[in-house]
Amino acid sequence: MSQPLVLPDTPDAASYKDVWTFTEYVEGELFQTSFEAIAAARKIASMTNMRVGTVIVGYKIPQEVIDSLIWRGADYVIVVDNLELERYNPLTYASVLAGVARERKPWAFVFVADDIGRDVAPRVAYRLKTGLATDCIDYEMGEIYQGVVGQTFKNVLAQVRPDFASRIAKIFTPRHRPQISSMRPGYFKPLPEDRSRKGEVVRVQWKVAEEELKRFQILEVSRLPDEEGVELLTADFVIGLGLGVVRRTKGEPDPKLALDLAMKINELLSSRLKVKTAIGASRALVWAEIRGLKDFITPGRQIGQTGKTISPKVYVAAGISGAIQHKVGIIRSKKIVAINTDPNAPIKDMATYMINEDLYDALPKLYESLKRRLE
Amino acid sequence: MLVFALVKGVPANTANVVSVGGILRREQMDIVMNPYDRKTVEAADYLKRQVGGKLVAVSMGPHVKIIPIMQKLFDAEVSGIDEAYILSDRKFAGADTLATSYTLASGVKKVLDIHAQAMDKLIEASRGPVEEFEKLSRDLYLSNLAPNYVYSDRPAVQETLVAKLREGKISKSDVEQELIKLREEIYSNFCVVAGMKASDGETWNTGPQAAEALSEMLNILIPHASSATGLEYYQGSLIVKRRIGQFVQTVRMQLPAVITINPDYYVSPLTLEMRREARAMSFMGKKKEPVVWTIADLNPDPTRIGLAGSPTVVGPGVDLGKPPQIKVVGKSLILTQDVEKFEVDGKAYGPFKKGDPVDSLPDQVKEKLSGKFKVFEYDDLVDELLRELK
Ligand SMILES: Cc1cc2nc3c(=O)[nH]c(=O)nc-3n(C[C@H](O)[C@H](O)[C@H](O)COP(=O)(O)OP(=O)(O)OC[C@H]3O[C@@H](n4cnc5c(N)ncnc54)[C@H](O)[C@@H]3O)c2cc1C
Repeated sequence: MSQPLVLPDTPDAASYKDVWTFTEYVEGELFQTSFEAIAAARKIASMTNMRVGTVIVGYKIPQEVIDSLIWRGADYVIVVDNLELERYNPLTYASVLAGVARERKPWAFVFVADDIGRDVAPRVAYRLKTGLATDCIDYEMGEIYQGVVGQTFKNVLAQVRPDFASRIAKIFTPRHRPQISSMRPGYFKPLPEDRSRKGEVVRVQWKVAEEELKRFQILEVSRLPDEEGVELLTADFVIGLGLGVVRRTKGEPDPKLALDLAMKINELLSSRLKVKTAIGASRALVWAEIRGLKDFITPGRQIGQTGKTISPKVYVAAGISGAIQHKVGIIRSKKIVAINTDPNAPIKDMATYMINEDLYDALPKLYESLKRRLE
Repeated sequence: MLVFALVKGVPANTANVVSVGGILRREQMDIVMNPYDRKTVEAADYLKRQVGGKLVAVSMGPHVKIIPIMQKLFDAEVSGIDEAYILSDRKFAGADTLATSYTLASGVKKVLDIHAQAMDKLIEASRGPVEEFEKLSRDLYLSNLAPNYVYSDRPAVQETLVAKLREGKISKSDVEQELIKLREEIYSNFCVVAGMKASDGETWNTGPQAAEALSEMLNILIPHASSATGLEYYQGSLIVKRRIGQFVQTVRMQLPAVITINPDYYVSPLTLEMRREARAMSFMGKKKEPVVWTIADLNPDPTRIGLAGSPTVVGPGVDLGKPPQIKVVGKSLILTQDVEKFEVDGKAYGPFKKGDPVDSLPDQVKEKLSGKFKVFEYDDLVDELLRELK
């Protein structure tokens, strides 16, 4: 049978094994989301009986950093340490990553879907002529029929990502290796640090091509002040404020009051229950730049597709309609309370609870009730 | 310089959220321009104004749907495009990012090739009789394939190659040298600007992968930078600013280069001086009619396009599980105790747990449960939340 006119399979695809991640180590800082990628890789490895490797690229990478990757779940660390790799450059990094992958053949390769992962993973996937599933929130094993070759493939990785039509889509890369994906931050909890874990450190010598440094020359790197709203990522109780704060049904809207009410609830919970709390907002509210809120409701506090993905135990959406872009950021919340004057606001189909009242009434009532129950 | 803007048509509902109960209505598949691409065109136009040249939009998708988008871009007062190429063929459909970037790069390459071929003809003609050279220069100028620098009938542009040759200021071989330089620059001095991502899901890949595809096709290493918030042309290279986590990276990229634009990008104003310099390298103007290219025009490697060229397969979509039954404060009725399984009219119900809502149960069933439920109040809500938090 002649090979149909399709992208040729990765040669020797069966010899690919292990699950890799790319660890982001930038300007002497280890990005903590790299631990989430290792957690994701561990999940894949446990389904496939494979080992977890991670690749770290940089210059003078401290042993402590390399150890921490093992303590957080890596079985081995591939270290590419070189003066010319000190700063992140998509050309040099893509060459390193594609190079080590070509040589050592990982079965799956997980990047973090952040500024760097999204910048470099596409180039790596292109060079290896394989697929790239972006923004994954989960991984499973599955089988898939591929029409162009008329075959069903078993035991391939189902790379699960949000899809706006059907809410979740599974992306498969049946005939090509490695199966590359990027993992959306916030969906895998880093494994607890286990300092007794042992692992292997593989140091790879790498010669950087002049051309890459010439064509992409880094002039300056500066650190931004710490971002606002990082507490959203780890909080167990989050209140999200939306444009509802400017649409009070009775009386003048007072956005500052709405914020204060939310803060009061959070203070109560954090002082009495030691719960980590945070306040976020919809994009509409962030963009509205409302006087009285402007200093607090900043872009760093935006929740959603173009903002932060949160995973609290309880999320209270106050005056938020629940646009799909907002919803993708709150999918991981365990319980969602919607406070909305509109009983049919789209947030409804994700909410566990609905308070069908003006938020200016509902927030004080919620506070009073909490106070009663915590007495 | 040829400045390319990669533009994507996306379902209107992803750009503008038409959701009913959270489910997107796919039948409302009006195609609009990817909202992220507005900035793409602005940034590309800014480069064009800075350097001179042409703004060429390239898009892959069903041409019936894309043509109106391009028409709007032609008409835009600021940052209008000069030419548009739509890569439209059934065989391109179903492409994942690998195949998409390959196809888009093929389109870009073809535009470059057309300009190079025009220049080849002109180089050839420059060796022959001056009148014929003048005539071809003018033809190419009028068909937007040669810049003002070669020929122009704009009074503001003097000292074109043709004028200087006619006035005896330069020799034929000078002209040839200049033209050879121009031809080289077609491939060494272009820029592709793309949106950072598309609103319908394909995230971030197209820019970097188009850089790879073009590197492969033109046999030259083409850098890219994703998510640029700042972009300036400076002495033959691009100065780009972008976010890398908590850092801001400022880089100098050699052309050709691919840049994707962050929604936070803002165009800075151009000085008059910059505009004057840019004019010589500009082209006559807009073509206005989008050109549609099919497989026959692009002649791509058939194993690299559409479904056949896509390593990924999208499995059937899955819903995120049954939504929990919602409890509405002050309205829902909830059980005050656990209830064993029971039957009403031959149908089984339960078992139920304390706190379960009974709202959706038929009236006869509710009757059976009477006395065992109450209205869900704030305190009930808070009890459940506290149980979750403790
Ligand atoms: C490409 C793209 C990316 C986006 N990314 C994001 C993102 O990351 N995050 C995000 O949030 N959005 C994002 N959006 C915007 C999103 O589509 C919505 O426009 C936005 O989330 C709406 O914000 P909202 O719910 O606060 O406002 P609205 O939609 O105006 O909703 C206000 C809600 O409050 C209710 N309400 C009014 N008054 C009261 C009151 N007094 N008390 C209680 N309820 C009241 C109303 O019934 C309504 O449901 C994005 C959009 C696009 C196109």
